[in-house]
Amino acid sequence: MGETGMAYELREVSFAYHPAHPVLHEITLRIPSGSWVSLVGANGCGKSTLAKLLGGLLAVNSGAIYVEGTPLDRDTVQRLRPRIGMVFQNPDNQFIGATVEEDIAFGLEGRNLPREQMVTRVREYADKLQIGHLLSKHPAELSGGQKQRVAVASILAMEPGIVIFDEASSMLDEKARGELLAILREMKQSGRYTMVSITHDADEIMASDRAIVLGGGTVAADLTPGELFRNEALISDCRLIAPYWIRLQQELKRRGVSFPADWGLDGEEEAEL
Amino acid sequence: MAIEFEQVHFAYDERSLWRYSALEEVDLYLADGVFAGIAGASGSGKSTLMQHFNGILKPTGGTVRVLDVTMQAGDKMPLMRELRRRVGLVFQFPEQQLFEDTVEKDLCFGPLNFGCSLDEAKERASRALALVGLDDSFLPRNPFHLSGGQMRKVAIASVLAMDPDVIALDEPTATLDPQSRSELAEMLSRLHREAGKTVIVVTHRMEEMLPFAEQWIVMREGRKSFQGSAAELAREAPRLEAEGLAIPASIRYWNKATAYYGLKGEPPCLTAGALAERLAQLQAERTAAGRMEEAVPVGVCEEGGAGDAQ
Repeated sequence: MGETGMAYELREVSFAYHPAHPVLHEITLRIPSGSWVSLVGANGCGKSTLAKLLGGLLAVNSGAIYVEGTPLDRDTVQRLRPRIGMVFQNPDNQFIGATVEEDIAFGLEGRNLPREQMVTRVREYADKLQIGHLLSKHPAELSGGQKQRVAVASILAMEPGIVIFDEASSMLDEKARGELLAILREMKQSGRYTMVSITHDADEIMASDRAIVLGGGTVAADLTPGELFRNEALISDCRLIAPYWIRLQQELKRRGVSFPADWGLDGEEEAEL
Repeated sequence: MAIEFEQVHFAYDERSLWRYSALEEVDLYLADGVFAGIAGASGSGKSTLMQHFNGILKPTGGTVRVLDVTMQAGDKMPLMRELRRRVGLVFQFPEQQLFEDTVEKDLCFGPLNFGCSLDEAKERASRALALVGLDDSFLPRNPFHLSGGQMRKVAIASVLAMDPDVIALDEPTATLDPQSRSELAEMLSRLHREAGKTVIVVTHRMEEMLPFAEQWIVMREGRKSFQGSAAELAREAPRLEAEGLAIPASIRYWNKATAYYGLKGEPPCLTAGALAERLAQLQAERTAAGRMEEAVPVGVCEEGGAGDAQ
């Protein structure tokens, strides 16, 4: 953990794939260690580009990114990258091993861990993500949700302090999406991870601490998920749709009524109201 | 009748050691011109079911009737060419099937293959594009330079260009952003209402199709665990949830409302707007009824003083 208590600090970061079309323009923001941030915005707003910059997969054109107090540049990237794990949209694109076990071990081999330690880690994280019974399976035999859990286990086994989820739930079915969300919540509760998730998923955004809205190449808004979903103009710009209960609440307000006080809302929703 | 299944079984690798049964004892009936949703967890047989609609998969047991074609397990299969034109399937991520350098060429590919003249194919291309809500200015454009949502629409139009009577789509909204998803659902509903197509949507996000679909089928482990209207679905929600189906919020809230107000047998309000409208009405009724109740004792015991009514 950096002395600053900040997992990330971005100072006037700009990036363009082509000089004529700047993607990000002088972005300045800080992400405290241990927090969970959602990056949202319409398609093409530069969310995924920003995620790649944060993950050290792309280098800034100007400005600076500090990871836990250390500037991320050509000299430090090799040292900092092991701190950062990334989980992408399609788990199929991330599989390398012939079995789940090999797949989780792959990253550890890259780190030159001794065999005994690898075995323990694979076991530990497989158990944590409840895929212990799948270790001998070929990734193709798994369901979508199981695959994404294997992908997350492979990343967490490398014990990164920062994990970036780039649309990790968008290809999953309802049930698997719920399972992934439960994992993200657990990670948050453990306090061991700084999480950045790029997502359109209302439940995932609601579960995070803070939403950073990108638009026009800059930070268009930086607010709590509750504030975001109550700002109808902003969520329309981001092409999001608020959770059903917030929409219902807004529709009720428009008609001058509110939820009956004794209506037995779901716990989390009640807390928000 | 558009689609009828009678005791349909389907097994992959039927005659091998790796035989894997994907559908079992499925009875199904979908009327002409219906908008139907098929839901269920991954691996429940939704996509396998859909691939029977135009004979890509043929039943290994039972009978499938689609339009006027009958496919019976064990019998010689009928010619599929006409059926494949009349029943269009849109697979997951259909935009991956785009391959031409203009939208128009992509849309003409199907009709030309089915024997249309170039002029007619072009006319159909333009009509199909209008059906998905895009105008002719898209015709000369490169499909690969469109946004994700637009590519998806063009890919769906390429199936519509064959002028099918039935169109079945496998997860048409997957990975689109929430607003594009809702636009696409509305577009499919328009196709159903205005062009009179039978539309069948396989989806794991029931919520977005709920305001539109008249019939729902829920698959579970290769069997049909439910078929009925959205109202019936709402009533059966507790059982389906216990069986592992993720129940959409709009149904959960509707069921809360029916329990709270003791509503019986009325059509469900499955959008936030419709439910809010109904709740506002119910609260107004309740307030009015409350006033009545308060008014009655006042009327009975005159000496209590009418002034306390409020």
